[in-house]
Amino acid sequence: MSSETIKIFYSLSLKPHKFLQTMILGLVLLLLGCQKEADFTTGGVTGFIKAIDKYAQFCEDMSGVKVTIANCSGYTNSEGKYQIGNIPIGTHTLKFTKNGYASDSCRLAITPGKIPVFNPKMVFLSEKPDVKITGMDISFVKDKIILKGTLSQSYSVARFFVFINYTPDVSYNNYTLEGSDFYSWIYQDNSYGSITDMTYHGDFEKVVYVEGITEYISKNSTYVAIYIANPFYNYNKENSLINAWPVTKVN
Amino acid sequence: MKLALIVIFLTLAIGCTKETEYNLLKGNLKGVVYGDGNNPFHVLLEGNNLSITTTTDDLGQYLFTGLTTGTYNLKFTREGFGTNYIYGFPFIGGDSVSETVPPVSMAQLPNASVSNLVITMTVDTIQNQFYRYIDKIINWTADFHGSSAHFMAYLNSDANVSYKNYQKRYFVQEGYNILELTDYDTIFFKKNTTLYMVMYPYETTGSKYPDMNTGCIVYSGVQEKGVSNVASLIVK
Repeated sequence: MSSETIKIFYSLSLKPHKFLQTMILGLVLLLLGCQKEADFTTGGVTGFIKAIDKYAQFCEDMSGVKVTIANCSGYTNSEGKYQIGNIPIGTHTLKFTKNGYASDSCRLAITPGKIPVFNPKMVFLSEKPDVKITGMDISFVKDKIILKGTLSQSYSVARFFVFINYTPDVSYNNYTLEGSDFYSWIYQDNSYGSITDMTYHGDFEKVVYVEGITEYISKNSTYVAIYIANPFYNYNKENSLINAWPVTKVN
Repeated sequence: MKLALIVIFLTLAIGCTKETEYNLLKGNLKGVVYGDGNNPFHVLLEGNNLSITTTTDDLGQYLFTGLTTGTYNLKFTREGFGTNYIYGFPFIGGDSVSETVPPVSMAQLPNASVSNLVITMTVDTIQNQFYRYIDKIINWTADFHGSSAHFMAYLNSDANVSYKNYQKRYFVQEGYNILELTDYDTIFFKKNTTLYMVMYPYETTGSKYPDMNTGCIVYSGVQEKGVSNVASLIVK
């Protein structure tokens, strides 16, 4: 310590060791004050996902789903539970992703505190079917499309979606008419809504109801796009639907 | 001068804290508890280093005042009633109007129990009244004791089956001793695996909440003390 500094301490009526004590006390006070701020600027989130495999069966192990929110991330455990902390408070998008599975997302407000916000949304991640259609015959009866063909695997589970338009660029987000199998869904307590048999053993014959299709064909050029998805897809078509057959002109 | 330095640090520290408090909001949290028409029920609120208990008024309503923005757990109790929870409630605050948590229904637990549960399985293909194809039928017998009119059966492929750890749940009643499993129930119970089942007396009016370990939906009207033995069978 230079003689000049020592002179300053004495001019402040403080001995050097007293000055250090005061500094330490001050720093502790500062830290305490700022610590309090840290407690109220971040929060956490917790919740559960359900993972369903390509045969429409619940995965026994639901671990490995990546959950991302505001530059923070974590993974689900075998029960499908996730818990992430140190998230900046505010409203964020939660994203749920796993390779080969249709992703899902939702919005959630994160409030501060050690208790994580419980995400009430039941998140479903369904594995995309890896089956391909190897042959297809498309025919029509009153307000119904009959799809008859062969799948690349001897056993598969899939839900069919049909989209109709008068231009060849028809797709799931560019269509005039649409149709699909009956709905199927699973409630949080594992009971489920209406179910249609969606299991196939190589060959398939599917009747898809498309209201107004008969009249539409009589008046327009008609192109058909066919997609398949996991029966328990999460209503996000972009993530879930797989183009299963080339667009076909049917009149 | 020593005093002056301490004052400077204190000012900085308080300033730091004060800024935080300035950004936080305050407000009130209210809700309502439905039960047997008699009050009070006890409501415990925890979070932000707080643990406060209040009781419901004559209308079943409760209020927590002066809460800081944060995340809170709530627990609803009364002797003889099933406990209910609301987990991780995000409280924003900052509004003159109280924020409202979802209503909770408390169920008076039945004084009843189940014993001697035995289950077997038959395979058939029939169509039930909901036009679902029934593939497998669980036939069950049990002895009922006490006053309960409702019972719940829980199925799992794990021997540790309970009302907090299950894959399927069914309402059951005396005199209709079958559970119908559709072809899609093979989602849960595969051929040649062991299926486990327990039964509980159950009061229908209680709310439900998620179990925070398993994610299963817990029905608060389940009388845990009246649980049956765990019965099992091999899926055909």
